[in-house]
Amino acid sequence: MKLLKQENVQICEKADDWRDAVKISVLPLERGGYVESRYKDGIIENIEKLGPYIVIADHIALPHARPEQGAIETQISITLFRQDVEFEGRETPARLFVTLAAKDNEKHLDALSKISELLSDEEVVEQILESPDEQILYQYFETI
Amino acid sequence: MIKKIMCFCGSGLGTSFVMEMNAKKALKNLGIEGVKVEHSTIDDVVPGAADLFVCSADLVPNAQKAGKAIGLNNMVSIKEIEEKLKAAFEEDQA
Repeated sequence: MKLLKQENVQICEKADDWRDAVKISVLPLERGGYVESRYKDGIIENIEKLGPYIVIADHIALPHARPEQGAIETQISITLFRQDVEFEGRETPARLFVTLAAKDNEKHLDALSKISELLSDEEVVEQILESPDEQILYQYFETI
Repeated sequence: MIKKIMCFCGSGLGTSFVMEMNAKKALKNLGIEGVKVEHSTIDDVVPGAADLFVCSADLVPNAQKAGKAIGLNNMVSIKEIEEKLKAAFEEDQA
């Protein structure tokens, strides 16, 4: 099952802060009806409570919340910020936001394992961060 | 003896799963067999839930309340988790 649509891949210049970045990154999922509007608040609450565990590596964030926090359908959106987004409690900022809406504990695992494999190569990450446009950014994740 | 590893994050379905997958790969690379690896939420992190907890570096203080824990800075890096698991297993056997 394909979980990423090209229309849900976006490039943004910058965000005001990490909360703003999370909201921007969830926007395509909200627009598409994959999450309720409270989903982004769930992500922000989790981070406020537990710290920035969504920053899974240098430059990379994986914003997500629990299914019961407002996920409607399993789907992924990708947001690349041109400028760094700082998280309190984490030394390295993030620019690539892979935002996940998971309806249950299973459906997203295959996609996530592919994403993880792709992003485990630091050279590929560097290339992704330099994507000149959304079309090229999407191509890196096309198989997901 | 480390027989069960629990990878966890705040929600138990994203970050923790990525860590579980990489922990399994790392154990295979290290030739360590017979260890159960699972992923869960921070709510399941209680003493006795696992012999070793794996989480993001900022959640280590939470995990240490429940037992032995290793924290990761890069959760997609097989290299980092492999090094840290190797050290944990060596310490375990010492």
